[in-house]
Amino acid sequence: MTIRNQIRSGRVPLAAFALAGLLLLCGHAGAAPLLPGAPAETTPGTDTFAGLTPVADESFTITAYDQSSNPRFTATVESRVLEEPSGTLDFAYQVTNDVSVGEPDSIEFVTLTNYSKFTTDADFVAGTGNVAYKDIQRASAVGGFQISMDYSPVANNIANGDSTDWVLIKTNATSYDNNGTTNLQDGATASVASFEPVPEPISLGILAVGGAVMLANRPGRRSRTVA
Amino acid sequence: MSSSTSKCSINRVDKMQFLKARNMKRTWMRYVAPACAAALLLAANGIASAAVVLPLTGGSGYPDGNGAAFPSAGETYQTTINSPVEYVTTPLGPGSVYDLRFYIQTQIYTTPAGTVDFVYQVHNISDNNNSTSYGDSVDRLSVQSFAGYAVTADYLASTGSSSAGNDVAPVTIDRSTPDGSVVGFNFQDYNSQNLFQYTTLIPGAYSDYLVVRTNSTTWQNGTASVIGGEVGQVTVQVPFGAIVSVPEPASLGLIALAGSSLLARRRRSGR
Repeated sequence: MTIRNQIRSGRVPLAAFALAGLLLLCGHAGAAPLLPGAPAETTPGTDTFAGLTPVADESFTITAYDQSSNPRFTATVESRVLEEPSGTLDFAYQVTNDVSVGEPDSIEFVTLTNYSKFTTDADFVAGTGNVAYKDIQRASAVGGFQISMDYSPVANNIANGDSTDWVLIKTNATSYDNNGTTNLQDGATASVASFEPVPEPISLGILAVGGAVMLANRPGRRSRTVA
Repeated sequence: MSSSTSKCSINRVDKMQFLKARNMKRTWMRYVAPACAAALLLAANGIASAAVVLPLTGGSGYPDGNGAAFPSAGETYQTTINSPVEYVTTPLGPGSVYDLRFYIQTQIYTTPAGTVDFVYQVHNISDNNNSTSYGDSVDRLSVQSFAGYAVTADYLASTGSSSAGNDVAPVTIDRSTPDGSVVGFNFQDYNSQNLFQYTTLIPGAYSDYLVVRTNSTTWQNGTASVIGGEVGQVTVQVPFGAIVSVPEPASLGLIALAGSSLLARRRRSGR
């Protein structure tokens, strides 16, 4: 039976969905949860970089200005991609509130995007900076689009000259790009580009096949064929 | 003879001691005890209200939703100012975006003492109603600058929206270090006092009235910013002008106690 016939008979969509489901299950098998809409970590500060292989590293510096164009803080965000022995990728972030005269604000809230479609297990790596978040959560919207970290209690403020402990987010992704964002807030806001997980090409391929199959089987096309 | 003299002098000493003790007891009952009770009552009042008193150099706390007893007697409404709508989008893929839209309303009130109170309300109007736009939630609002001003903050429960899930209270309120310029309201948080309470300012939701009492005498433009999966900021009103010295209730109690003690001491030495 040719592929065209399989498509027409509706067998390929079933096979494609089964394969996609199998791959998704494989991805989920090793993941511990930072579920959308849920808090993280019952044992914070216990993760380490041990056994991880560095893949990519980048950093950006940005100044946040208020509505009167006054600078409120200047921050450097460094992000890294690390590979687990299993081949999945972890993402790490560190925020530094650069020493800057006349810029009074601490940084009190940080969000990371885009984690939709991926399982996540987040923690900070203790002792790699001088402040840690109070808590970390994953949004419930759009499949857990963003991960939010609260530094608002005084003891957790990212004050002038402070660097956060590295935040390590373990995922089931195997590909990445640098179209993600790290958002920073206090008296003003700023966003910089950072690494994010992306669907691997095979998943995109499956999606493309699924889309093509659906297009091929759409009712209008069938009725025209019959006619 | 000598024994009767000595007995008499002992009686005199006893009587003097008795009178002294009685005077002290009367003084205590008349002045010190009521002052202590008043001070304790006022201090307890302050604790019970659980409005978050934010120190000049930063701090944070859990509000209780009584709006710092807002409005107080004689408080006068001045004006309401809506910020422009801020609109931020992030591409999510072909034909779809992550959408953050919001505006912030500021209401301004003045007290009989001449101080200004600010009432902020965030309305998340992110577009979440079709297949091409995913609405962003608001995790946190921050407003600046309050540097140098005394700040007591709280929210006023059930003033957001009558629609279920669209009336959102902040879980914590904080003030930045080291200069206290930024007052922040966290919406997305697990309340450590109630682990099952999960809040966030979802698309369509209004925050409750966020009441910020200050000792400023007028107001000016400042900056309010929000953060979710995206960030945005708008102009709102914040404190400005001279600082009015208004002692807090607990301080008033302590002053009353000190005054009563001094008065009692003066009366005792006069006798």
